[in-house]
Amino acid sequence: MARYGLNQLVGDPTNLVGTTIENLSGSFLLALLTAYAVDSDLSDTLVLGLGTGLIGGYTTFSTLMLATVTNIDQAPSRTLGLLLVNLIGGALLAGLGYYLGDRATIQREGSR
Amino acid sequence: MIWLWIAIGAGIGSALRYGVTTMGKAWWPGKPWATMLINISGAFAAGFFTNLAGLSPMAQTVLLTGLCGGFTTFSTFTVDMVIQLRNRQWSWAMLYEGGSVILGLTAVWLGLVVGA
Repeated sequence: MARYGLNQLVGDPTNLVGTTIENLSGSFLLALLTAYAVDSDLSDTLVLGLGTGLIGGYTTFSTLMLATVTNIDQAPSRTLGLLLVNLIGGALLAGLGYYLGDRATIQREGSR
Repeated sequence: MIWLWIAIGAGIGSALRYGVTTMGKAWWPGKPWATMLINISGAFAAGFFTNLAGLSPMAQTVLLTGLCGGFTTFSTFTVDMVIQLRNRQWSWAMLYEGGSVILGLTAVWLGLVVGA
């Protein structure tokens, strides 16, 4: 639902820009949650619901693939560029999220 | 009303994803092949529903944005990749990332052809 709302808000008929924003922010959030949840007090059900349910459902692979295939003829460079932004940016932001979550876990364990 | 239907579609998609991921953990422990399978089959379904005749625009939005969007996931894909890179599994990461994208794009194209 958050994904649909954001795509409506962005108003890009190809859905590519909205999907890119969702995939980048979701990658960061899931990595942060995954690394932070290690040995944390958060319940497994909460982590599963937030991670698999909310963030996993917020990001999408199928729309990205579909939008890439259907837009590549009209706007090849924009489409390919945004696909690369998703892949490389998603990996970098997930890396950053993982790093921050991991640091929070280390700090928490150090203070115990 | 469309919000409710999208939420239902995305909920079903996410629950299906959870089911396949759980099976994948049993079959391929520590390997993200379930997510790859989910993303490629979801991409095929997205292509299929796009060209399928007789769907109303609302049904199409519910199936594409809701069901396929909730079933497939990009965040798990990038987090899996970061974990593989952290563990220095370079070739697995290349295979996973490259394979997901190339097979995903091929699957959309196949779905478009089958649905037409």
